[in-house]
Amino acid sequence: MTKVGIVSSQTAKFRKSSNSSIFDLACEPCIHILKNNNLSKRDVEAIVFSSCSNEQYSSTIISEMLGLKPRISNRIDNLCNSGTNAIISAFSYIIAGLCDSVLVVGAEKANTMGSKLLWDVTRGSFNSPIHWAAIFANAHMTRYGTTEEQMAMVAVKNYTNAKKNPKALFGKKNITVSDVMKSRKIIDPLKLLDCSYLCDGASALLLMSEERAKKFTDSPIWIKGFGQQTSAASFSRVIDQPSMDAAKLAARDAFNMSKINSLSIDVAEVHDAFTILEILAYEDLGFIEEGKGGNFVNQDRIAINTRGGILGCGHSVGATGIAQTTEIVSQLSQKAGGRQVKGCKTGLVHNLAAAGTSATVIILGVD
Amino acid sequence: VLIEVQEFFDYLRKGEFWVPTCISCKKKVWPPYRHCSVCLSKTKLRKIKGKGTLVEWTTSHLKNIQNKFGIVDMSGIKVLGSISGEPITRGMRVRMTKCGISDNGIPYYHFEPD
Repeated sequence: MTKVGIVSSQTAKFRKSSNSSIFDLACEPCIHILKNNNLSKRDVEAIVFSSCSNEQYSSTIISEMLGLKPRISNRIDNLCNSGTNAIISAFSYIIAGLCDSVLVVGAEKANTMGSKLLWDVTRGSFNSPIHWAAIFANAHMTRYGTTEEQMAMVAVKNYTNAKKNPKALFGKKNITVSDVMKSRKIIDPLKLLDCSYLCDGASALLLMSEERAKKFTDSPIWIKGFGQQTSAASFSRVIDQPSMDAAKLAARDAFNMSKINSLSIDVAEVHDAFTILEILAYEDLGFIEEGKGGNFVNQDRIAINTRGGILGCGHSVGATGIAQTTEIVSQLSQKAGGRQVKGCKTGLVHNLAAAGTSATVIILGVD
Repeated sequence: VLIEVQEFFDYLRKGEFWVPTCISCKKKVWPPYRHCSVCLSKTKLRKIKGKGTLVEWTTSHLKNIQNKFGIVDMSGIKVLGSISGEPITRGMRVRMTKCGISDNGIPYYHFEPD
């Protein structure tokens, strides 16, 4: 089987809001990739756009704006999981032999429909993401003794990492555990600084078949394996345990496909839209046993959320999964600047949507 | 929202909680759909007793919202609703005392100790 490599990646600076349209946002990282790689427009044979925006015909409009005439142009909408799903779709087109290169781009406006979740009548008026996140946090605290301080430590770690990322929305914020604990209570046990912030953003990747990638660059970052799982759409169908089955199954498949185990991961981007979700991710990915995620926050075996995570960078829903992946690509390419993890060779991306009803795990490597 | 089960919303608007039940395997289908997601047979709405167990709950500090809410397991279906009454404890028996659709079109469910 041919391999699929990532040959170029770019994330635009995340902003609280902007006058840019979703299309202008999406074009920004793509223009950077097209201009800085001496690419002919014919080199882009497919485009996959990731967004929860309700704009019609969006991937095709972006193609036109960039002057591309791709054979394949479509859009993926799977809430927060859209970006990672778009990468897997692009991978599939290449593996299937439909094309040799795919531009994957994600973009979102801060006021996205992706945070509304209107279909889920099982949660009545408690219909914001923070309602289910608070329930998961409470359940984890009750069952395993996880503390609010441990969750606060996730926020401190990720905001601190964001200071080394010029693209992060909150790159200048200094916070301590005490600041998180004293921040405004929203829904117990979650406080303002336990929560991510919806923002404008965009991110893009260029994927190529092995043969094409090797012609294009000496050091592609390879997609070694992935897993995707959809378990339900509604919160009430996945709330049995303070863990996320979809993420566990996606991780199992990704490790099997890549023949890499969790101990070999050097760097990881995990979904931290709320601090508790990073703790759940440690457990669901097998970094530590179930129930002990709270003790894993300050470990130094794996560098986690080096770009600042969703907490530090802001949550640009359709762009998030792609921005997470661009960070792992930068790290493995040894191009992460001041936040470079020395000698890292294997990385992982973990992403979720809507209370963990669906999840994706992607494993990347240098060879 | 879910046009297929418009009747569910019609009852809810009148303050009644009717849940689709599979005409073949008899399982409750939640959220409400026109067909059973287990055996794919048609469903029929049935009024249910509204009693259940409080699985998990917490307190909201947001304005304009009932401040205590939780997940109630009503014989196999789980509903997120507001809770009133004291004391509130995990595992307690509760019953749905109110439900409906608010002015903004969002459903609501309210529980009290049984």
